[in-house]
Amino acid sequence: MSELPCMTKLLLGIGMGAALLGGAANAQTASDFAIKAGDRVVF
Amino acid sequence: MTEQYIVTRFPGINVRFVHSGCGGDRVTGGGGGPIDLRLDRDVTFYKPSVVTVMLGMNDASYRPFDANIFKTYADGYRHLVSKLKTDNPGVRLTLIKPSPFDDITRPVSFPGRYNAVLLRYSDFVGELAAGEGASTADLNGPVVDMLRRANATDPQNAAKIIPDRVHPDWGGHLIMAECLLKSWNAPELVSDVAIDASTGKATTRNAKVGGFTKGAGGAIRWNTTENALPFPLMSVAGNGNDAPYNLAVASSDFVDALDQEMLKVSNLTNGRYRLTIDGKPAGEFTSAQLAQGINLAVLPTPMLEQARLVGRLTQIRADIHNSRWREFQVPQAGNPQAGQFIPALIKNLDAADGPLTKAQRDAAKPRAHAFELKPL
Repeated sequence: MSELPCMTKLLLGIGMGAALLGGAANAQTASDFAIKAGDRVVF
Repeated sequence: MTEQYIVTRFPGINVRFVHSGCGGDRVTGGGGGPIDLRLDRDVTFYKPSVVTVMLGMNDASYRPFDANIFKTYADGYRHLVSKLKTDNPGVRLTLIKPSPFDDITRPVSFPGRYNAVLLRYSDFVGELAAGEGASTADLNGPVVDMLRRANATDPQNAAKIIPDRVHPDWGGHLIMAECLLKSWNAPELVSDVAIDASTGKATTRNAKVGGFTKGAGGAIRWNTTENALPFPLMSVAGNGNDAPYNLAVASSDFVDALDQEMLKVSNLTNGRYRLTIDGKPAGEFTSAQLAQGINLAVLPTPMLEQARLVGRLTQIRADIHNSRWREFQVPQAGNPQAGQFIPALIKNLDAADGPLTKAQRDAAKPRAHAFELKPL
């Protein structure tokens, strides 16, 4: 990884840590998502 | 950032976004006008099917809990919800529990802490939402937890996540967006690809794999087309605030919960490998790490670059709408000299929204990428 910039190394570390920790904390699927096609969202 | 997630994760769905949040607002309104005008002009005008509301930080007036001030908040909030439901039949409301005042990285504001006052307001929001059939998102507790972890790791940069204790920087915004997205059951999955290096057999979720070949010296190659992009992490930083942003990400579960672009490669000959995507290096890994799985979402990949372009287009669209609204529509509404020019100006700015939305969606469309793993 020596050629990668510091920022990338940090993010890479975060990602590898997440992967090695066993992955996702939730298991939602696209069909569970509350926002649907055609929605008009006002924040 | 919520819009960035939805557009990159679901590039095929047509969802329209309007950003009508105004700093300094209370349940009675603010710099954008009284609340009924705000709701008519900035919310109902856009015929919403989903509305998020976050109020409380300013309402509580930065002082210890005061029953009279709280009553103004509660009464005003009930009026706001009633009007939204009456004027927008069938609208789905998400009432957001107020984001925190940072009493974690700095000395407490006063005995009893201002954020404790906001938590009492949060309880009211939860009760109101339950009674009104609205959903809630908690932007307080999870952000406080993140600040605690960040403060334990790096106090100097932790204090920059919400620099003035009220308004978050990009990292704070990101974790607040995560809270809202989680309340909407947002999936963590970008894609999941598992490849057997000995046979080329692939198992996928939300992606397609083809063209597997074995090259000289133990290299393997294949093509992947994912149906989604990773979240454009860091798309808004690079302005000297990278360290607080990364600290916020590392002190949260954002990547685990919302940004899983997994690649597993099994049955590689033991050793270290360089992963390239479209000829560009993405990282170096051991065969054991690849067998366990790596998360492409946090690597410098062409997919992340594509997502960052989507993120920039999203920001440009939001900025133009913000100018239309905050620089012209609101401040010039009563100006007798400028007033005659404003409708045409607004019309021209609104005309950019369609093409920008199309550019945003086109930029998010899935593309095939050439992967290679080569022994080092």
